[in-house]
Amino acid sequence: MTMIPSRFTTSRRALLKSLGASAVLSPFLPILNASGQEPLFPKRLLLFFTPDGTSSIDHGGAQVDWKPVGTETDFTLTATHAPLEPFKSKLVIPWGMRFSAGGAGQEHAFGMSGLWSGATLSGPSGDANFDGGNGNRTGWGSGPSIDQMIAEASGPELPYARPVTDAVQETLYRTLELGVQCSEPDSKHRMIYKAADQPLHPEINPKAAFDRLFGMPIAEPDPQVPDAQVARKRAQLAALMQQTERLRTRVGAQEFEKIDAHLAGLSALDRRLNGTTTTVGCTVPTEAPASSNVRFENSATFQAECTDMMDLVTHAFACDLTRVASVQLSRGFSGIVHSWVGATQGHHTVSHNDGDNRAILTAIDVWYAEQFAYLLAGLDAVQEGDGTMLDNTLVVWGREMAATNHRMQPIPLIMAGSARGGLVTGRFLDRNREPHAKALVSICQLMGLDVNGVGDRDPDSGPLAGLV
Amino acid sequence: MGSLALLGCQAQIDSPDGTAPATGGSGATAPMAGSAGTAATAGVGGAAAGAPATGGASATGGSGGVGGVGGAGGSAGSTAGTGGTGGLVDPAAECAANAGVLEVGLTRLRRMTRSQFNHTVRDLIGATGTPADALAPDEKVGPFYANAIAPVTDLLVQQHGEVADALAAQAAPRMADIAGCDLVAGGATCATAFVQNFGLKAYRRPLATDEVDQYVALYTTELAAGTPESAFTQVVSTFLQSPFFLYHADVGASGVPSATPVALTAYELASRLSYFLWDTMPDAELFTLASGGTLTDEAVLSAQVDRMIADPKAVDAIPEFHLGWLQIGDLAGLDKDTALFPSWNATLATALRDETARFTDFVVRQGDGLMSTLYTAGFSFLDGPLFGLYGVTQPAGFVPGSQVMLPAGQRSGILTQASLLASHAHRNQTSPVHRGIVVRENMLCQPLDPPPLDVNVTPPEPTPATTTRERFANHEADPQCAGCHVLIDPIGLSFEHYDAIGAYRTTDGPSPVDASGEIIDGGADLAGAFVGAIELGQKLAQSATARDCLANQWFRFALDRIESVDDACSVQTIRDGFAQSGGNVRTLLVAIAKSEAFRNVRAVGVSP
Repeated sequence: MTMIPSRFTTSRRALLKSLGASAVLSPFLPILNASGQEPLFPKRLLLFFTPDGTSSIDHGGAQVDWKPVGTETDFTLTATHAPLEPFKSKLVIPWGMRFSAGGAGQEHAFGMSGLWSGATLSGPSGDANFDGGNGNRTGWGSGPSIDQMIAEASGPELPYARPVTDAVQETLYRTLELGVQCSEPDSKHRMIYKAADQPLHPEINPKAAFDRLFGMPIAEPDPQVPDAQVARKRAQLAALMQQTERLRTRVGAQEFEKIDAHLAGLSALDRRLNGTTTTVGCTVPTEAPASSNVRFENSATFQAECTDMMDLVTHAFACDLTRVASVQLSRGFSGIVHSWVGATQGHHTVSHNDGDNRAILTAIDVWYAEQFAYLLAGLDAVQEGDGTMLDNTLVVWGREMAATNHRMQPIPLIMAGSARGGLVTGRFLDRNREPHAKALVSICQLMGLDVNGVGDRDPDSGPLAGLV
Repeated sequence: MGSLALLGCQAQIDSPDGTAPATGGSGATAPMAGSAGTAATAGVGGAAAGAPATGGASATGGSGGVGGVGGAGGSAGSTAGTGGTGGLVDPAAECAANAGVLEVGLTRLRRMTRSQFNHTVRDLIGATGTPADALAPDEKVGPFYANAIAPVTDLLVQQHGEVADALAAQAAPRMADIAGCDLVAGGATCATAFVQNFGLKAYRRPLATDEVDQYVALYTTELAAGTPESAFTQVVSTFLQSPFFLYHADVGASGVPSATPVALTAYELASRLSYFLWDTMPDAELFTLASGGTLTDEAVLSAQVDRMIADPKAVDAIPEFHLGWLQIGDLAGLDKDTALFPSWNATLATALRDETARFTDFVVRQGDGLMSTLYTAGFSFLDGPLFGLYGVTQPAGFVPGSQVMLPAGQRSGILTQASLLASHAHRNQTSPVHRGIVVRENMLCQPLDPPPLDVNVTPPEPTPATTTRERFANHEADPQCAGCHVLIDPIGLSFEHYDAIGAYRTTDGPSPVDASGEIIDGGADLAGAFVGAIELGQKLAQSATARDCLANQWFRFALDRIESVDDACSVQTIRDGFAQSGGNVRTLLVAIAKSEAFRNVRAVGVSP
């Protein structure tokens, strides 16, 4: 892939020049390093999900061994991860961890809710009573996912320097959740949580996501000419926020979270209108992807939609429209039929007839590794200073279980990118049986969030030894 | 092939390294309503740092029953049974314990579902199509769609804004109709009238003076910068994003949320009725009765329910209830082995769904309305490839939508409809477990525990040499399985005349079909062995348990919540009304609308 410029290949001086004298009003100035020199690039976080565990034989059978072979800095990837070979020097593979997850439901459910949160999946309570797989019922996850925690914080080492409540934001979106065919909301299908009992939905329509990111015209700010469209929208939002506050007086206290969330959504829209977007300096995609609004699953369009979403998140990072994102391909209990690698049944079905299906399951795993490689290639093709956007990003590939037989160790978590130099890459670490909450803590710390624990499954675990 | 051994239900006790939670057996041996308290005792957990062993679903606090077995194949996600009696074990006794004090369950603030949104904007501004497709999908309460728990997200608020703007723009050509006066010529007077009249319909209640002022100000400001048309779309778009439009927020006459039940206002009652029976906003007649204050009168209320059931708009609600109740989901997305079932395709799947939608709609709204007819009717509504699947010759002069008599001895009522049978089956074989669970949980409201976490729930592959009964024999033979499965398999195996796509068959593998069945521990009116799904239907048709369960399920559909102990008096009254009518669903719907639970609201929950 040819190198494409990011917004940050433009020097600050050039950016200011292009925006004219009024540029001082532009909120989207690159972060300067301590001596006010040419910009440090922002740190980005990208969480990447693919379904199920690695191939295994049910009930005591062997698992396809994906453990790299070799030493920390001189290792060989197994066949399952062969597509990642070109990026080996930019990977960190902390092999062997066990899931910090549990609670209600079965593994597809509590693994999904615990993957990025390390938090318990709540049991059913009142009307919060959802399908947790195999007849189990669950509530929602009980803690925030690390992407939301990191995005909500602000500081010099974090993706965002400005607090989330600032009227003017560095990027169009604080976080971006994209997905492909993630089905209806229940505990097996949602992995991003703003807080306990607050799952976030991904946008699953590539065209809608594109329009929201790139559909707006590039605006150059001119305070002399108020934008009529913006004024109109802001008048709406002011009225809606006032109405939402009035609704608060008409509901019980147990609903206040819903009121707060609705207000937060309206405020986010309002803030987005308050500044202007400039995508100067980055390559804005001109062709919108096809519109696709699959309510459950459509294997025929799955591949194209995966590609579309990976392209979108790469462009979104390159144009600094967000710095914290997640891409969820399918969901726990996936029914996608990967016919293009020879599967004739849905993924979950294949995963449990695994004695006969080892070859197919491995082929599916390899295909998902190819998707991860494609994602890394896209990020790596964006030049940023002497390095690439991938170098300034931390990408984490996770799944809701370790193995198809529902074992939850060794969790197949793979990291890529150096988080703007914080992570030495090209390493394989044997962290047998360590709780994955430690990795979550390390990710937070790499992203500039000073925590010592994530979630309640293995609270206060501290970071993963030797990772940083 | 040795795979029969894989059916063993022995729980895997994992090595004590916390790799997976160790679980014991399924815990309670009688995990049914009435003894559901014991379901909470889990099997013995492993000595590991793994996840704690999970018990059965607790029956206290109205958490409802547990679902059925998901697993290999099946439709999108696992098909879980729902049911149980929520927190209600003995409504009559629990009602008596209230000692005459009015109690109703908590009503949550709920954002409108996608289908409610589509139907509402159709009626409000003449929108066409399904604009809510652009919104993130809905949550569920039990098997029915309702956004009751998770808060809205930034994305949803944004999606609603985009949809509202688009709908308002599309409504502009109908500006004069929607406004009810000429905004171009009529100036401030028309603008105010428009806001008041439109606002009443959008908010489903009259606007307060300051609310009118707010929208008139929006109109006036935009008019100064634009045109009457742009001011019109500004107002419409804002209404369509308003929380008073998007949320069902019942609170009662005082407008102050109460921790004790208060009567709904007439407008709130109109709205509850219309979303219950029509999945949309009230019509002009309901609004008129609400404004006149007579809707709360029992006779008027009753008459309205009758009118609404007969109205064509009920076709958006009545079939949806049945499809949800029976968990007949995304049939077109079902993964079926087309080598075994070459007739299976999207057209057939649609025909299956249409049959059940049309049949249940007919029985409830135009037919005799009886539950027993649902379970035993010898007719249905077939179309297209369904004739072929059922082996029925299309009658001469057949008009789509007309009744068709079904082969006696093969088809009778909903239990033998292919939509149910295909939804509750694997891709290449039947599923006695799914079918048993949907009867036990959804039709009898008798909750079951889920299987232990480590149990292999994948059935052995079907072969020409084995019958289903043989492949599942271990469920009965192994004592660790039998405790639960004796409640499931003997029901599900009675469906063996119907294959994985619902076609009738007389052989299963090498043998003639053995469709003998029994409902073990289901209660006296369900006792006794039977043969085949048709006889099962006859049993359910005359069963008080099945009748009470259907009443429960309709309660949940109508109120967007699972019944709780606080609803005991209402549930008892509703059940009694249903029983006294001989199981007439139309009477049931009236009874629900007249119940205390439906006509009152408790908006404030008790702090945990």
